[in-house]
Amino acid sequence: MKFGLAFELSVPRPFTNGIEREVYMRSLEQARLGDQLGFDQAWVVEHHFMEEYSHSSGPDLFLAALAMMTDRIRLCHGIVVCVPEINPAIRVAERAAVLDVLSNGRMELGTGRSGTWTELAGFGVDPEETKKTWDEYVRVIPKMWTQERFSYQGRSFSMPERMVLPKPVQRPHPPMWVAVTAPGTELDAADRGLGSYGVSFSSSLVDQEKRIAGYRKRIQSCDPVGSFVNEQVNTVNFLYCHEDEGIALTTGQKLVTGFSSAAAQVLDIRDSYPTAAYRAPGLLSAIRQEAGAPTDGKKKPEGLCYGTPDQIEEALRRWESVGVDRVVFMVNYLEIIDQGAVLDSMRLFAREVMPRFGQTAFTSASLDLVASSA
Amino acid sequence: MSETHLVGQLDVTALAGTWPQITDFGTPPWELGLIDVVHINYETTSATMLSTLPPAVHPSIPPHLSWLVYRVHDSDLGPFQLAQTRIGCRIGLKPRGLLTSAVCDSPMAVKELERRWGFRVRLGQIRVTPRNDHVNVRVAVDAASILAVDIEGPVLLPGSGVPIAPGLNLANTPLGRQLVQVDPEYVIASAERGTPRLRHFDAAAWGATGVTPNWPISGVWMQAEVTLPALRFVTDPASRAVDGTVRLPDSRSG
Repeated sequence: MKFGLAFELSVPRPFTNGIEREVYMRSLEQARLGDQLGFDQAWVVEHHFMEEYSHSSGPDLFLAALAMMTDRIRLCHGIVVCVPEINPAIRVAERAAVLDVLSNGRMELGTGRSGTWTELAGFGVDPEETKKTWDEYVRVIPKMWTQERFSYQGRSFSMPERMVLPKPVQRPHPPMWVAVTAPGTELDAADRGLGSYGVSFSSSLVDQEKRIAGYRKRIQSCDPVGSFVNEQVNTVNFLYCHEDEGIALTTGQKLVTGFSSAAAQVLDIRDSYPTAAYRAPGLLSAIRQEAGAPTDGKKKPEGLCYGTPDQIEEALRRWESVGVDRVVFMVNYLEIIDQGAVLDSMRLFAREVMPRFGQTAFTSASLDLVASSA
Repeated sequence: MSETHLVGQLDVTALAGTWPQITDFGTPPWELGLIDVVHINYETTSATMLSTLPPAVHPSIPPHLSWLVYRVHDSDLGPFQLAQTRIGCRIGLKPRGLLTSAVCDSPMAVKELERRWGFRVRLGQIRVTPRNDHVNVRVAVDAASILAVDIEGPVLLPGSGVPIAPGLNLANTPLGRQLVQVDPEYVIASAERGTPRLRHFDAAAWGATGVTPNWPISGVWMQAEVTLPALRFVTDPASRAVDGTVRLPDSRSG
């Protein structure tokens, strides 16, 4: 099992001058430390107009900065919103390839279509179209990367023959993923030979196990959109690791509550625009369903990674047992945790938990950092 | 909830005299049978996104309102129509529609809706005109138009997923001033979605002074079995919902 970091770049109100820079700089510091400690990936989301929840509208720029200050960590550009009004397909392929060049072959591309009216209406996107355009994107982007010259006549766009440049460093091309929230999307990923990037916090592990098994089975007979099959299952989680159980649980709960309440602020497609294209609950709807009565929501959901090192190991063993290959952590949200405590949590996790999963890729610099924090 | 999120700033004490009176929380459900429902969502400007909501609730991003119209063909009080204007918001994590006011065309239904569920409702005229290529909704009070909105180009929606947020009615109750949660049950028989087009909206007449609809979201015309529910939750409008929400002891639906 490999571990990564997920960055939402959430910004708490009030939106004072400079607060976004503070959030960005702290997040870069966390990612750089993660690189040194042996975290395997840094995922950076794409969101638009999502007040507080995520101010990450230019993730490729954030990742470009990260590429320049890290050596090893994989730079995961996702989830990129694959609709033409927000990101033309050619630009997605180009920007991702630039990141792969800058990082010397460390880029991975996560694809999706957004699930909020807040975002889609802001760009004039018809929610009925997003499943179709996403499907078109995941078919053409690998071809833009691998074919010397590319031409296309399609549904959402067409282009005469051109050389899409630059070409990625990775051969045959970088790995591709699909954001999986609604049940059944993991099968869409499998059918196309794409990695499953699970971003649902509310499904039970029993349910997750069934879905992962379905993905594994289905992908064996897939018709891959790219040049290879990326059979991997990733899931997003929270991380707060502390030797004191009380502190760990209290702080971790604040993270979860902060994320859920920030997510609930925005207008979900499912809550505002009835369509068969968003029939199953997405992330926000799922979070809302998880909380029953208005005063509910105080229990610790199953499988969340906050606690002592032993408690986090126990949660991760459960994820391992249901078939997850990678767990990606949000280590802070809305600046709820002091930056020093965030970095200490990451160091403690790297020192105490990662080795139990065979992850011992400390560099000398990170060992120094760990020692200095002890 | 995070302390950083936006919350409503409406001074609820200033509205006390205008609230309906619920004398008994133990109202039984009211089955309305198979009725026509119009539900239209419209974005609004952000200028009044906080001033129209009490501190117990959060605005949605972007701010929006909804018009919810029932055309009841038969009930134990006879046929009636009810039109509501509601501000989109949330209590905790859950989407809600805060009633600014309602219009009903049956004097007997007005009394029942006020007394049992705390609807701020007055007598008026409602005309819903369904056609194959559009649905018109017209609402007037004392012969003055206060709402004219259409749904254009309705297309059949497969399945039964039409989200209608439960309502919140500001009312005086046996527990004092409360937001009364009214979450009707909808069993949808058929539904069509089209593009709403607003012709006229008198915000002040709906108790929504300053609320300015400015961008259409969705309009739904549907037929559904609808039941107005027993009351389950009330929330102190001046407190955070997480602290001020009470499950009613007489709750009949568990």
